Amino acid sequence: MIRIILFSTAFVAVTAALIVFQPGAAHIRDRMAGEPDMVTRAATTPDPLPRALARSVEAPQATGPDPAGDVTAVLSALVREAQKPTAPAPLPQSASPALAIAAAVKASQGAAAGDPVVATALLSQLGKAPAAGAEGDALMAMTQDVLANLTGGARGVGAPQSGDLQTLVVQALRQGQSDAYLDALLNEARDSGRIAVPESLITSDGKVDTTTLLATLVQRSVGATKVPADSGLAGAAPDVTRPRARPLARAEVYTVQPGDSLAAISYRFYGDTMQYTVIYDANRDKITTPDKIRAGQQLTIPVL
Amino acid sequence: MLHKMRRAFALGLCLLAAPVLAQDVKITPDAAYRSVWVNGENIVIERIQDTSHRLETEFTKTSRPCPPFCIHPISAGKGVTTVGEIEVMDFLETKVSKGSGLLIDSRLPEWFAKGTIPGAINVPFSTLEPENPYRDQILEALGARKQGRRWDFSNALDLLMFCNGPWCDQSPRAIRNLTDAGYPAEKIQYYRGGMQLWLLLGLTVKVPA
Repeated sequence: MIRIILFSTAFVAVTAALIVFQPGAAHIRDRMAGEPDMVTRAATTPDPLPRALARSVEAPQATGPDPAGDVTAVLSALVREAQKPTAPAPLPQSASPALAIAAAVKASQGAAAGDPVVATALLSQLGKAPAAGAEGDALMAMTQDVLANLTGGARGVGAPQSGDLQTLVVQALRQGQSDAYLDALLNEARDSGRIAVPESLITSDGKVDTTTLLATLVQRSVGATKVPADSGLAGAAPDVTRPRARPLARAEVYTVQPGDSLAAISYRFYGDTMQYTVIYDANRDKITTPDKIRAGQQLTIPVL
Repeated sequence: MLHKMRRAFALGLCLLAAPVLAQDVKITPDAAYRSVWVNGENIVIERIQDTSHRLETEFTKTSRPCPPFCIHPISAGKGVTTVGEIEVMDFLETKVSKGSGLLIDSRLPEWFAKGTIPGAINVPFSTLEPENPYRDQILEALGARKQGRRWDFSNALDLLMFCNGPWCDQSPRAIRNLTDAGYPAEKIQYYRGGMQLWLLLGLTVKVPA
């Protein structure tokens, strides 16, 4: 009861004070007092009151975070993000795919980055703008980004170990390992179930097709990296990545060699590992799954 | 003298009004904001406090052509739970912060880069298509284990998936592809409102670094 009385008293006091002092309305009153002709409502200009009000709401805006300001900040960040230029460094070419990737990784590295996850992210950054038309490469780049996101940062204790093919490759390349070492490493990791390898990259011997995997990575890096025309390297890229530029005139029959994978065959005939699905579809009667091809098998290679 | 007093009084009133203004737009009657720790980062989700704020972005459009921007049913598949904003925040708190769940933005990277729900990670729907030869790696990263030709999903993470909103095909499609691959439907939730409703409610949006 006493609280209600106190509250009402306070309320009445505040109201009374407001009526007496009329805060913020000083301008109008002063002006009206100075110009008695402008008493009629229609004649008064509406400006003074809003201006006075605007002054009175300045204070709360200054004390708290300004939502409108935040939105502007977000928008300007968006614009900045959209305008950010992408300027990939030129990539030196070399005969060995492994060396080319190592160079690409090193070029993108800048200072010392010891974390394989960082390397994956860097490698995927290299491939962020894959060669036009190579949808598979875009998927690979996107997958790498996803994996970098999923594995990046300790996601709690229960975070599962990711089988990240690219991380392994980059790590080994960073250590300056040879292609043969990489091949052994990848096969060992796959056998122990630590990494998942696309079925198309399993050879007729049931092993990981490291050469093609590396070539794909290079193709991706090269596609994303503009080689300056005057560097004398401009013509080198297609030689490394496209073993067979001319399209097939008609369907051919190919005999699987030991060590071939579907991706490798696709690469040989179409210059793109992702077209293995075409070969797989054309030979469903002989191949049950893309990783089950045998040396000596006769495969139809259709025209794309 | 009287003039000075007036000034002081006006200032006092304004200072009193400030905290009242700050609480105008709450999430629920008893929560003005939600705060979660994800990956060592403190995420605060609140609403835009400017009561006259309106959307002026892409998300004010009413009539995108269908197909492809068709209206989706509440359910994204048998056994998949559809949730709203509060459940998204609960999920961040109970699952994502503990590392047992992921809030997944199924849109393509360029959309993700423009702004997403805080705490979400980007797994574009196209990477979950069966055509992606590298999809197995993603499934493994989600906690699935390959056993011979089959997958063991018993330790797989709980997922909450969203995209641009009720007219967006991408998260329903990603969910379909996951369940087709054998991912248990009860481990997947669908936020149908997506960015459209999240933005409409003035909730915090994060622009990934």
